[in-house]
Amino acid sequence: MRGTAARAVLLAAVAAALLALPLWTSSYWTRIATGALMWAGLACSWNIVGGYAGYVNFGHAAFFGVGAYSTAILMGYDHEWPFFLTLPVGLAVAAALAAAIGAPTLRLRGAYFAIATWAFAEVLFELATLLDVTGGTGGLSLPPLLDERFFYYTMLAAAAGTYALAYVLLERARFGYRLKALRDNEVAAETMGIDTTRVKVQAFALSAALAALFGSIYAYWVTFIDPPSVMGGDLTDQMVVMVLLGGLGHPWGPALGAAALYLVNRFFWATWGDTAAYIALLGIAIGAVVLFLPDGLVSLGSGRRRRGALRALIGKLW
Amino acid sequence: MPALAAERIVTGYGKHEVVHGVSLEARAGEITCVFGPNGSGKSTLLKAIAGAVPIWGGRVALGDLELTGLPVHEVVRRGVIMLPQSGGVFPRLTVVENLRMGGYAIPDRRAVERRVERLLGEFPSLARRRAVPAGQLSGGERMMLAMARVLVAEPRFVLLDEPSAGLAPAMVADALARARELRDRGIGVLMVEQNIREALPIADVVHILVAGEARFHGRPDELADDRRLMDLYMGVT
Amino acid sequence: MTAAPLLELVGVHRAFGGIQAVRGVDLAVAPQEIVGIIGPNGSGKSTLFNLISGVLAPDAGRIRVGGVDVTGWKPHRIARAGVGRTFQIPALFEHMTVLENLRAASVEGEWRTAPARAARVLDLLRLAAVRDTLAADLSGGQQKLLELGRVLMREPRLILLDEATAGVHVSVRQVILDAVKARREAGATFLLIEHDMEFIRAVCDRIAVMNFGEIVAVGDFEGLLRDSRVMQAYLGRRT
Repeated sequence: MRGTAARAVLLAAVAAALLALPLWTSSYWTRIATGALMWAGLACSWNIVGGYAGYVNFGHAAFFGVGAYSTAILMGYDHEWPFFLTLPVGLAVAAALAAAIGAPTLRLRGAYFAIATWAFAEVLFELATLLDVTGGTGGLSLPPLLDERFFYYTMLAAAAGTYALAYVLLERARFGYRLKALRDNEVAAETMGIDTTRVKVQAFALSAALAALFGSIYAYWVTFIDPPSVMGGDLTDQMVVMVLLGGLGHPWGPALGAAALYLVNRFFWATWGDTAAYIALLGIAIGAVVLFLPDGLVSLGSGRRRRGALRALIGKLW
Repeated sequence: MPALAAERIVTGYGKHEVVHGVSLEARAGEITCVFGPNGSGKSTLLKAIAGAVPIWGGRVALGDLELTGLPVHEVVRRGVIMLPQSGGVFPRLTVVENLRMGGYAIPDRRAVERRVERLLGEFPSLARRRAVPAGQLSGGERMMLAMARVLVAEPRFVLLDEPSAGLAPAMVADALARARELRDRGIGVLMVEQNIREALPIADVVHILVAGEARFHGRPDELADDRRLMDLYMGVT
Repeated sequence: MTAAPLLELVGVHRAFGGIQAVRGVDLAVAPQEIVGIIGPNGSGKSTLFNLISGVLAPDAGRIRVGGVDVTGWKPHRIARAGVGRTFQIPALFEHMTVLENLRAASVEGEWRTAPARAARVLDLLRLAAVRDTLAADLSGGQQKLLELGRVLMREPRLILLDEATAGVHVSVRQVILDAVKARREAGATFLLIEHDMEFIRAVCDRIAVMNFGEIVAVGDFEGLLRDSRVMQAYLGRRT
């Protein structure tokens, strides 16, 4: 019982620190923390399908963009919706799109899904640059709100909610068992009555909706969005590396990877103002993780059981 | 002439032990057959002797030469060559190129060339098709080529893994005739075979493996009765 | 048989490329019967199991479970109709513990009673000591037992066991034998693919022999031992 008590105390301390953060740091660090929370949330959402179902989504940024654009369009001069009302729209559109591309591709081997999600993201990117409603390459502006604390607490609530939901669904509820079963042995899962395609589509829709949530908040936060800033492939790459670095298939590994990598990213940017070196670092990080630390940073701790999510994911590609 | 000896071999796949301590011996100029029902471990045993599957317990030796734990190409260098089930020829290489591949482990290229030419002389139907890719040969010619290729390496023992497997009935007799030809050249043949009725007449020594254990060792004429064979195969004592 | 059959296969065919893996198989299994399927490798036994469990669909013929035509149904639907199976190479959830594997097996059934039933299965199969061990770290025999345990969790009415005793120690084989008999008493019907003749003789009511995709003979062990078609399947043919 000492272990769980210690963990509860740790969790309470972290929660307290996060809740009080804007009070004991500067606005610069509040903004950094807001960004880190967003990436933590995005990493968690990718981990649902990548880590727990074992399917690689190479176009996750598209859903982030769906949320961003939904909020931007609805808050724009044509509609002028209040911010919080735009959130369910982004969630619903992302979930619907995920279900539409997931239903045909998730019944096939992982490589098809990986390619389909990548292609889907490319298509959405092109649409965003071509359509008037999305402002084309010029992008969209949102009504400005210069309230750091508002965005910090909104992002915190979204991230905390995401991790709580993921934890309950994936580590406690039946849903998590279904996912992990189909990740470890899909045929066996089927012969136990698990409708694997349906479960995969549900997981994918959930992961898409969560990504959209963060996209919506991000759009309002930065006040201006365009296709590269909310739908770029580099966004997906970063999410993937964060999850792999932190711990694929682990309930809070992605948060660790996100925080670590985001801080490094900000450091590079602040020191050298350039992200080329950072991208090189991403590449090295992926290589190092796959070779030396397949279970991520979380496995450095108590030397507990191997999660094997990375091997399952690679195995599912063909 | 040293014998090829396997002593109390234990082996299997993954966590699955399939051969539980089997011993046998093969001699030059003899056909030693290992029969048994499916799942008996006979193919696994053969592969372990050839070095293709790790040996968990026991040893393999060629006279004084220790073969246990050696990789396949080292076992080949010491004169023990296995012909696998899947035909043993490279379909896109020509007949001559296939034969040269048989001498892969031999450093003296000119000696290999001489042997290739000599074998082509012994197998005129192969010589006529020397520049043809092996995939275009008939089934019978391919079997001949596989055997000739093995002969380039001048083996002392040849291990045959179910030579009749997947063959049309008309070809089965040919496949087993290869074993006789190898024996007649003084080579020791260790053969695993599914079709005991067909192969029994050409065997000099017979082993029967059931569920990974040796259940019979003796001469083929001791197994004249099919009912006795069924009893052995089905584990009826 | 007096009661309606639990499993019926009528004219089932399945080919791969040019090879007819299962040709015209007819079989009827009565409720609570234990039927063994033996025969050389490549005779179509595992393909038959894949067809019954829905992993493969037949090219022709019909499959009925409890009178319901399940031909072409997806595997999870057939599983929910009360069919469970094991795999020749244990298809365990390697990164879950033994207990988690058993609970996962109940995920589409009685979830709340799963822990209690898992405890009973652990006892029945002598796996209680390793309940928190990762499936990947079990010995070969324990993996076979867990493979069986997962099937038993759902309490299916038709259980297909694919070489459940392959490579296991004699003591493990006894545990499996006792479990199969106990389940049959409790109402289950079994179809077993086996190479282990002692196991077959100890537990099967009838035995079917397959060769080249067909059932060549059905009967009891002594009769099959002297059946000429069975002898040909095992000893080959003189050409």
